[in-house]
Amino acid sequence: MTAAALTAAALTLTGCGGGGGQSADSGKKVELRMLANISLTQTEDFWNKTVAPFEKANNVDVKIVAPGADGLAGTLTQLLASGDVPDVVEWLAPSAKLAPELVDLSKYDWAKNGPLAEQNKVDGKYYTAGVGENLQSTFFYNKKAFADAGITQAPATMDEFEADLAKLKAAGWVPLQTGGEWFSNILFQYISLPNVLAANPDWHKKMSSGDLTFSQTFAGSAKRYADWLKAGYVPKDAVGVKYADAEANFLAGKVAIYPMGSWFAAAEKAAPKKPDIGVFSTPVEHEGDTPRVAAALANTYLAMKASKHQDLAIKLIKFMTTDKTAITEQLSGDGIFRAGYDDYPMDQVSKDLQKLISDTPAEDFVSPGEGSGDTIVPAGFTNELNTDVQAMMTGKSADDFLHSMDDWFASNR
Amino acid sequence: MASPAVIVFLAMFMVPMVLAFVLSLTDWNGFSLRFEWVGFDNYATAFKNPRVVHAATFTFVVALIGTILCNGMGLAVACLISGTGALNTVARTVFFYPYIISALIIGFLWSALLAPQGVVNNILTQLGAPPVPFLSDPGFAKWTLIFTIVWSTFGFNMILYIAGLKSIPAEYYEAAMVDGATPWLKFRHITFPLLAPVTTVNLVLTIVGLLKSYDIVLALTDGGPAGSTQTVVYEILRDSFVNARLGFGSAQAVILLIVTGAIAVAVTLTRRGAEMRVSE
Repeated sequence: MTAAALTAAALTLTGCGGGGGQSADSGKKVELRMLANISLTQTEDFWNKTVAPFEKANNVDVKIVAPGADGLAGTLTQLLASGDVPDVVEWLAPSAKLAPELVDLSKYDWAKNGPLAEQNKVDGKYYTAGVGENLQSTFFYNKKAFADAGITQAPATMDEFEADLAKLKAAGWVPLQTGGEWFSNILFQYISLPNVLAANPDWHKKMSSGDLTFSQTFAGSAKRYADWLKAGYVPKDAVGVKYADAEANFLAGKVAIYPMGSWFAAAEKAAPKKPDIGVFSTPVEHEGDTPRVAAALANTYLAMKASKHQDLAIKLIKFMTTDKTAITEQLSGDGIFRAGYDDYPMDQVSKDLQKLISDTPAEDFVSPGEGSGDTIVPAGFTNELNTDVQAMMTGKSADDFLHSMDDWFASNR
Repeated sequence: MASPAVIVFLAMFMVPMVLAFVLSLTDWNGFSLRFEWVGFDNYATAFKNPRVVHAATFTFVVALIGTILCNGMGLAVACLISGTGALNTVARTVFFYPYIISALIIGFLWSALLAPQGVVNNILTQLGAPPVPFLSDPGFAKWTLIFTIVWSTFGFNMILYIAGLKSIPAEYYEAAMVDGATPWLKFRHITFPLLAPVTTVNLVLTIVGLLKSYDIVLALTDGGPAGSTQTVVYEILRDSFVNARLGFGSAQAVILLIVTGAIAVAVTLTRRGAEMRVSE
C-alpha cells in the first residue's frame, strides 16, 4: 500500500517535508546538522575543528549530531521515523533501502570521481562521496614476537599463517588478540572473506538470491577458525575482552598479532609507548592466488532529501571530500588512507598501509562486511556473524556455526 | 473535569499503542514513505525466530528470578533498617542510591569491574586465583546480568517495604510481645500479612520493570556473549532501528505489551485474597 500522501501531508504539517535549495534566509545564520560517527579519534571537537573553515566561509553553523546508543544506523532510522532528519550523514554507506531518502549526487564530478565511487553506486546512481579507504583485512603484528618465534617475513598463504601461529605459541606468545563486543567477527572475517570473495566474485549477489549458501563458501574457514580456538591461538576469555583492552594489550606488547581495520593506525600513532609494529593483509588460500584486500569507503557523506538546505548540505559534502586540509585532517585523524594523499606526517605503520593501498590494483579490492552499493547481502549480516562467531568462541562447533548462519540467510533474504 | 486527563491518556498511551499495533501489521522500515500490509506475518515470524524466542525465555527468567530476589532482599533489608537511628538512615541511603543512578552508568561500571581484564579479575590473578568468566561465559554472563539488575533495583523495593512497615500499628507488635511471640512469629503473623498491599505493588512494579530490561543489558553485555543475554526489548530496538524492521519490532512490542499486561493482572488477582485478609 502507499502511504505517501498521508505521510507527505503529515511531514508538511510538521515542517519536515523536503524542499531545500536555499542557502540562507535573510542574513540569519543557517544551521546545518551533520550526524557523524564519534570515535576515540574522531571526537566532536575533531569534527568541529574540521568544519570550522566551511562555517566561516559560508556563514553557516554546522552542528554535529552524535549517534545514540543504537549506533549511527539506528540513530538515523529513529531520526527519519521522527521526521527530525539531519542535513548530512557521515559514515553510513548508501543502500537501496536508504536511497529514496538521499540526494542523488550523480551530476557532480567530485562525487563520481572519488575513491571507491563505483563500488558504492546504488541502482547506477552516486549517492555518496567519501574521503578515503578503510582497509579491513589487516593484521598488525609485533615484530619482536615474530623475531622471538623465528618468523622472518609476514605469511603469504593461510598455511604459512597457521604455521606462524604455532611458532608464536611455542615461543610463549599469545598469538592472536580478538575480543567481544562488536569486533568478535573481525578475526574470522579477515581470515575468510577476502579469499571467499576471490573464489566467488558474485558472492554477495548469489548469497542474496540463495544460489550459494554460507556453509558452501565458509566451511573451510569455519573449520580453520575452530581449530585455532582449540589450539589456543586465541585467549580463552577473549569473548569478554573489550575493544579498548584488546587495543591496549597489543600496544603493551602482550600479544603477537592484532587483526583490526586500518583505523588502528590512528590509535597506534597516538600511543606514547608501543612495540615495533608491522602489518600484513589477508594471506591467500593457495600459493599463486592473487591476494584480495578488503576496503570500505571511509568517511562517507550522504545529503538527505528532507534537508531544508540541500544546496548547503551538498556544498559541505564537497568541502569535506575535496578540500585538501579537510581531507588530510580526516585521513590522519582516523587511520584512513587514499592513494596519492601521502604528504602529511606518517609513522612507519601508516606508510606501510599507504603502500598497501597504492600497490593494490583497483580490481583486487573487495568489499568487507555486508558489501557496498548494489553488491550487498541482507542487512544485519555482520551483527549475526558477530553473534555466531561469539558462539563458536564459547563452545559451539564449526558445523553449528555454519548451520546457524545458513538459517539466518534463509530467513532474511 | 476529566477531559484533559482523558486527552492526555489517549494521546500518551492509547494512540501509541494503536499505532504500534497498526505498524506491526506492516513491513515498514521506519522511514520509507511506502510499506506493505503483511497481516500477522510479523507475529508468526516472531514466534518462529529462534533469537526472539531465546530473548523472550531469558527475559522471563530475568523477570522471575529478579522479582523474587529484589523483593526478598528488599523486604529483608527493610526489616533490618526500618528503625529511626542515624545508621539506619545512612544504610537506607546507601541501599537506595544505585536505583537513582542511570542504568547505563551502572552497566558500564560493573562491566569495568567484571570484564576479563577488569578490576575483580586483576585482583584474583594477583592473588594467584584463576580469573572468573563473569562476562565471557554465556552462563556466567546471565547470572552477572541478573545480579547487577537486582543490585541496582532492590533499593526501590526496600523503600516501599519500609513505607509499608511504618504503617503497621505498633500495638500489634506490643500485643504479640505480651503473648511471648518470637521475632519470626511476629514477622509471619503480623508484618508479612499486613504488608500484602505493598507486596502486591512491589511484585507488579518489579516484574513489569524487569520485563522491559534494556539499558543495563546494553551497557554491561551488549546482549552477548553469543546473544546469550539479549532481552526482548534489546531485540525490539535492534530489529526496529539497527535492522530497520520497525514493523517486526512493533509486533514484538505488542506481544510484550500483552504478556506484561496479562502477568500484571494475574499477579494482582492472585494477590487479591491476601489483601482482602488485611482489610478484614
